[in-house]
Amino acid sequence: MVPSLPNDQERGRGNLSYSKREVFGMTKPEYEWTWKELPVGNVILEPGNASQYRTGDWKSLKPVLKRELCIHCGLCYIFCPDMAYGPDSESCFIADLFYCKGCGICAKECPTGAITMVMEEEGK
Amino acid sequence: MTENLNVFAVRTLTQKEYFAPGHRSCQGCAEALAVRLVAKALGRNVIIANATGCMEIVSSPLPYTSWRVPWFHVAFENTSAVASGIESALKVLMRKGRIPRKKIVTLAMGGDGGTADIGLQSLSGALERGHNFLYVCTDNEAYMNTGIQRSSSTPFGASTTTSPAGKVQTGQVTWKKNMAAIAAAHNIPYVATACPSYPIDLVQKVKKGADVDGPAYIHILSVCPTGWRSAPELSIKLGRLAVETGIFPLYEVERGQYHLSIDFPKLKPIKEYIKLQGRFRHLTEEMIEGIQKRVEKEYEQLKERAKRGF
Amino acid sequence: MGKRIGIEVSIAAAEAVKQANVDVISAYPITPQTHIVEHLSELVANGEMDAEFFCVESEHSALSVCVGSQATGARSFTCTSAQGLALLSEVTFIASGLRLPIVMILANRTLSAPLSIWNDHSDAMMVRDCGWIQFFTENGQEVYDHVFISYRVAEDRQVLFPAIINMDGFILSHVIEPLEMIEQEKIDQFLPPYEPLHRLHPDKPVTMGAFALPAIFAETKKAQEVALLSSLPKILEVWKAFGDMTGRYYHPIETYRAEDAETLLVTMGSFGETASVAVDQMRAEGRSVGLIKIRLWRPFPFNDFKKAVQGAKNLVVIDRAVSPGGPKGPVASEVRSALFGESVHPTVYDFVAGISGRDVGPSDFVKMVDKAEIEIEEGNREGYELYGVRE
Repeated sequence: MVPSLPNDQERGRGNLSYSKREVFGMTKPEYEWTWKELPVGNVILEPGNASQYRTGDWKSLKPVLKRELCIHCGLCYIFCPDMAYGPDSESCFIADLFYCKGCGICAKECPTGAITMVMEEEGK
Repeated sequence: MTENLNVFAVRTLTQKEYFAPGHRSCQGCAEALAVRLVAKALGRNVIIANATGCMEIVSSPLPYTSWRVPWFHVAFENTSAVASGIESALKVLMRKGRIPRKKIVTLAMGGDGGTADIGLQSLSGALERGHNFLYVCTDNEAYMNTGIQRSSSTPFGASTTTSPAGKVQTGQVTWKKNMAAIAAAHNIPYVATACPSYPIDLVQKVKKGADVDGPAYIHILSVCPTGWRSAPELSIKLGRLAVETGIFPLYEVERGQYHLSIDFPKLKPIKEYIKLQGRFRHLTEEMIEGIQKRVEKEYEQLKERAKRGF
Repeated sequence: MGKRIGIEVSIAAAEAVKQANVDVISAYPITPQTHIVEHLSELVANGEMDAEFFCVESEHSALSVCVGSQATGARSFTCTSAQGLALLSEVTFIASGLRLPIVMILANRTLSAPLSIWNDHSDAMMVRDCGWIQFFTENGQEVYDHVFISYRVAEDRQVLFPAIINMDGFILSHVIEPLEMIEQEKIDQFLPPYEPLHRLHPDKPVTMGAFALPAIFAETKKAQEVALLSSLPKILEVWKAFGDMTGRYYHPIETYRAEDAETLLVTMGSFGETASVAVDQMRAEGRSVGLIKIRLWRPFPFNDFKKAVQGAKNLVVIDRAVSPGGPKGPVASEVRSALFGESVHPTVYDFVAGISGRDVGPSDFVKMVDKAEIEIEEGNREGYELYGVRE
């Protein structure tokens, strides 16, 4: 599976500064490397390049935010095991669907019920 | 209205992520969350030695890595020894002036298998030698990466593939090994238990452990929906319930002095915790009552220690 | 010319580690290497050596500590024997795959059971495939010299492999031998401080020890194999530089009175000196006998070996370990495999001698050569004997 960079529609708006996808040029997937290209000791020299991998393909449910209920507490952001959440310009938190695996923790933990999990095809 | 509620405790944590998304953990993995929070707590100036296990596998499939800090995986049982080597090298290289003097935290991370079972010897050695490092055990209560086999950290009664609930034996027959007590018995300056369901507490404890001079040990309960057969969205709630029922109390041992991090006037019944997990679904009323009694007894003993200080 | 003194070989090895400015030493006691770590701990305790020295809780941790410290950029050292090597063998493969230039002295000792603290090569033979550069030494001077040679070879940017120095336990480790120590200034010039290619440091975060899926593992193995084979020219270069400095030149295969010899003894380790006495005796009687000593065990110097044995009729290989159920003596089996492709090659007769420290004197070598020559003459092309066993 060849990962590709997200388009703007998929990317959550206003990603946290350090959780932007690293762009070192795309790292080749493992089945394309030749033995001469490997660094000595198979060291990986591009920190965090796993962020090129689209784990968002794994989900069947996706989180949807009802903005008027959001109290900007940041619990969805802090509890996400996949660092998918980032603040947007209005201080709400938005999930980056490139990474979101659809586990539903954010919807469960949101104190005001502002987040609901919906099947991926329906709705927006 | 919302402007008044702008500052929440969560926002006091750094926004930087040192553990990158795109890692291959299961959905709802609280161990990945624990590791994320540990990385946040320690920041840039850390070198991590990691044991073989879930977190190592999901974060480092050649040629990809989720790590934005220096990270080293060697084998299963020697994480503490590798961390001892890293810590000593930093010490001697700074002393000899070959690298500039700077505070660099040495972190050793391992799962419950790599800590309480196969890694116990090297952990004990490193704690005894007094190296200045922090050991974090992310405990998902079984050998999850190889497919849910029991470890000495698997709780009594839990069904795993090597301690299955069968007709003759019903799940794990031994009580969970108390790793925090074992670490505290080495007379190290700081021991703590933590849970990612209490993120600020976890981050504070990790920072404390890193700052202390000498070895520190932190045991983190990591809910595993795949292995515990629980719904992925409940991972945070289950962690909270583990604490609220007294099954996994949060406490610190500073220089032998016990402090509870959070105490409840009345513990919730363990049934609330157990009923949400498929690995306990075979438990009889009798077994549950037995477990309830023991949990309450151990909690009382812990409160006693906290009261008298040691 | 350095000072020539009588010194126990283990102590000399420890002194070499001190002179090599090693940064981190992890220690675990096991006979017969213990004198090395004991002396090192004294040197550190007396302030004569500035290093982090500490005792660990097992040999597995001893090498793991070195892996951690070497990855962080510190020159690291440890030593072990037999059971300790067996315990840390897992980490040897890892250290080679990670390309960390650790140097380890292996005081060769028999692997249990039965338990025995005395010398043979069964422990070294266990880790043939671990991917380390492996030297065999014949006397105390060679042990001392190879500490510096090993670090310089191992740390070279074009090599970056860990190295084992094999030293016969008790026979070398516990005897006092005449040795020439090298002046510190010369060592400092020969062996500059370690500059790692990759190191663990927050200024440049790297991930070491990632796991490899089948789709990429074969490439990593090829890279490792090619790199180990390519280390041979560098080893020769370093040996030459060492020879220029001290007058002692080492070669992958050493020969002794081997030109135009009809029968050649092949030995590794301390057997070499005793065998050379036997060769002198036999030559004095007019027999056409010479000696081949394998100094570089890994990467095995196939071309040098083939050249050295060209023209000989009989090869009498003296192993110091058995491969039970397998091809008898490990060195003989490697020799046979080295020569298999040659259209003309000597007949190999394999003796396993000196198991678990049993003494093998010059007369024993003479007896072995006698027996081999007779049997090969009678047509035995697969000769093998566990020498000196009481029937």
